[in-house]
Amino acid sequence: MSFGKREREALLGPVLANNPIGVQVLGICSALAVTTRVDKALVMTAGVLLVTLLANVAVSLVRNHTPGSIRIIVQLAIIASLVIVFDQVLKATLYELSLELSVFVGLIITNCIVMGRAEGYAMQNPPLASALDGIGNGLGYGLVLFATAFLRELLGAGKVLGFTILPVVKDGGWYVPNGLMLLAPSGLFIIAGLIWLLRTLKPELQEKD
Amino acid sequence: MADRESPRYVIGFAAAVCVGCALLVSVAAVSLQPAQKANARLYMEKNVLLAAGLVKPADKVDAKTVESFFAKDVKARLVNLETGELLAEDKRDARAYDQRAARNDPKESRAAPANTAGIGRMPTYGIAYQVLKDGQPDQVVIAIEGLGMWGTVYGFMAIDKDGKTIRGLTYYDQKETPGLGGEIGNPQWQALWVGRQAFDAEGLPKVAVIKGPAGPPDKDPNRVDGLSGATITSNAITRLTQFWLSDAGYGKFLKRLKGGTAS
Repeated sequence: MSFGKREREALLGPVLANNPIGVQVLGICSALAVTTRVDKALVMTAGVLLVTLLANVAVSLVRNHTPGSIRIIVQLAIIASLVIVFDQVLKATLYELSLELSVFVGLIITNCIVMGRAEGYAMQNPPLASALDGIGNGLGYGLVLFATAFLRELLGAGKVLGFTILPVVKDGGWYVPNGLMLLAPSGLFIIAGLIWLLRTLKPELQEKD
Repeated sequence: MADRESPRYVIGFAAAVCVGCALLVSVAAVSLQPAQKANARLYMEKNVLLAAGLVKPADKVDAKTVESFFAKDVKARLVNLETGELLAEDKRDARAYDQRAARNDPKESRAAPANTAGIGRMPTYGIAYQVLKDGQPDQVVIAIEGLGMWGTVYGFMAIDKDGKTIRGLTYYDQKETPGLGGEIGNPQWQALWVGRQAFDAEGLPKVAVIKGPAGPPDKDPNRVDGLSGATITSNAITRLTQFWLSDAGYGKFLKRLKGGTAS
């Protein structure tokens, strides 16, 4: 199997041109919840990327043997197992972060990106292309998450990854943090702004009504 | 290959997928369990230090930091909850004592007296961490637990050497609604307990979470701000805190502390 046009498109397409959050508008709920800090966003990205990657490969490997009548539940079983394994690994390595992320890690199972890619891409394509598609979508998701979390942590707490960038007034600095940035609505404003930006830069994404 | 839509094939395929997935999940769960247990324990002991105010919520605390505190200023001890007496240190390794396991072991526990905190059985021995300052007893950290809204809430409360002033509070395991009752895990709310008085003039537990805001500790010593939107959790916290402060819990031990006969 060679690395042709299809493979390149599978990997790079979802990062910008066909971004899962920005263009497909999938996975918004978790994007609002886990973007208050950059470290949370990075761990969540790792989770979604690994799960999409492995789920795509597994679904693609069995795609020619899967009975059509139970294909959705087979995909769900594979995805759910992978998410549980990721949650277990997280508890064994980054325990305190896993406590904060617990609900949202479990919700990767219902993250529309994972299931959407398994059903929409991996069911029709060979394992290598599916793997790249999984990585691409994970990266696309991560890019939006990182940008949002970066802005929220910087403006909401004056920090990035826990390092102080803008010294806040409470600690003797000059920056008055914007509390709204730590609440869910600010995530919506930023993500909506990104979607707007993407659609303005690429007018072909706009639906005609 | 057999017909892909025949019932026999579908059932066989589904069974194969289930077995494969179950294997994957069980192998991961079993092989990672030791590391998870060590992490959970470390997190619990970190919360002892948090309750005592020895570390701050934002601090990075690793196993080495915890060990250095336990080597010097923090001593785990077991309290006989019926008499309030401390068990001699050489009788049992208090740090290895698992209070949750003890509570469910018929040999190590008894039926709890009637209470409103949802506690059915209670252990014979309760853990208490003595915290020293410059070699002198400064405060003790006791374990509190009880039924919250969605599950059992586990935490620690630090009490001053006078046996009645609250010095700190943490919850290290709780399943309350995130954003509402889950705010009991918020260090800012936990800080509101510091300086409150646990008992009334007769020595009965009095500290309570109220509806609405409470005054500063010196003017309003027995009340703590309620959590809006979390009345059930707030009331549950009041009940379980009062249970462990009462004579059924650590009350007798705390009274000895006040009398200076605990050690």
